[in-house]
Order: sequence, then C-alpha cells, then structure tokens
Amino acid sequence: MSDEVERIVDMLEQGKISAGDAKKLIMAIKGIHDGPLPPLPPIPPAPYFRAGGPGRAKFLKVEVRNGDDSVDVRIPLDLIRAGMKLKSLVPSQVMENVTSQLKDKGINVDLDGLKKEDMDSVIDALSDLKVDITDGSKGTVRVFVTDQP
Amino acid sequence: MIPPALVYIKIGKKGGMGLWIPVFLLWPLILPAAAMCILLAGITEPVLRIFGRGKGLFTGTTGLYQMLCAFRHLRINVRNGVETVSIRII
Repeated sequence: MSDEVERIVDMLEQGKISAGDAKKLIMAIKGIHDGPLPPLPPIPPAPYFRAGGPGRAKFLKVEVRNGDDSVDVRIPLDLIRAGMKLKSLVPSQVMENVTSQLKDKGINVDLDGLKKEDMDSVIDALSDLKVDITDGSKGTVRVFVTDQP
Repeated sequence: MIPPALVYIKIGKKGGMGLWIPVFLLWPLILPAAAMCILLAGITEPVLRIFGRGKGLFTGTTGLYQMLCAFRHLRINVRNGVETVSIRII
C-alpha cells in the first residue's frame, strides 16, 4: 500500500473523512476517473462518398457511452472488402454446406452467388448509415461510417 | 498497401502503461513471404485451371495480404470506471 493510501485509511479510521471521501481520494491518487465521462463529440458531417472514389467510406465507428463505461470501436471497411476476396479460397462444397445450413436457420442467402461488386454496393450504401440513440442521462449509442480515422 | 507497423495493447487499470509492439520489425519476413506466395499463386493458378482446379487461388492469396493490410487503423477501446482494454493497430 502506498503512503498516500495509508494516510487516507488512517484518516478514515480516525473518522476525519467518510468512506465516500476516502474512495474519491484513492481514485484521484490512482488517476481513476470518477463520474460520467465527457459527452461524445458530434458526428462529423457525412462526406459525399463515391463508389471507389477518393472520398469513399473507410471506417465503421461504433461508440457507446453509459456513465463510466464506454466502448469505442473503429473497423476499417477494407477488412470486409478483403474478406470478400478470401471467399474464393473456400471450396464450393463448403460454401454450399454453409448456404444450406443458413437456409435451415431461416437465412436465405446464396453466399456462392455473392459478388465483390454486390458487396461494394452494400459498403457504399453504408455511407448513409447513421444511428444515434441517446437515452437522456443513461447513455448514448452511435453507429456511423466516416472517412476520417 | 502497407501491413501494420505498430500494435498497441493496454489491458488493466486506467492510467497504467500500455505495450507498443513494433510489428514493422517483421516486415523483412512478411513482405518477401507475401510476394513469394502471390507470385506462386499467379503461376500455379493457370496450370491448375487446366485441370479444373485452383479457381480463385490468386484472388484469395492477394485477398489474404489485403486483409492483413486492412487491419491497419483498427481500434478497439473498452473501459469502465476502473479498468480499460485498448487495442490499436497502426
């Protein structure tokens, strides 16, 4: 235990400070943020994305804030584009199996027939995606696509 | 396309130290290996196609390298009041 923490514990034992004050002091010493995190910055204005153009969608961002808890994820959309190319390494029998398994579960998608161009269209269409849910003081969930890292 | 150069990992208490991993030190291994694999796939695919196999081998191999490169700029940051998990690929 560090000297500062020991002193705080002593002060608590002597009744000079309350348990809440002791907690706040210890958190301050350890550099732990107490209280809600600052609000998220505004979503940058969506640029005009062009298919394959210089201003195309680059990142999918997911931001969740709930009091002290936060999740920030930035996924490069090139991962999806490259993943589509990997599809060609999967044997067609496996692809048929996956498609039939998905169909059994009610998902009617022909993975074998999925083309790179189709996926590009989906990714380009994602540029219009903007989800912004704020529940008063409880939390915020935001999902959007941007070209800024 | 450039593969990831640095990976930052931080798991633990807030304000603690993170770990920077210099992945660029592996480039002398990764880049020649990737070039060799892509070249090999480019040569073998036409041969295998004659026998009705190897379809998409070249595309898949380049896709694998592109996927490695696409991991650049990936960022995952999860934290609560006390602990934090942070992964950044640069």
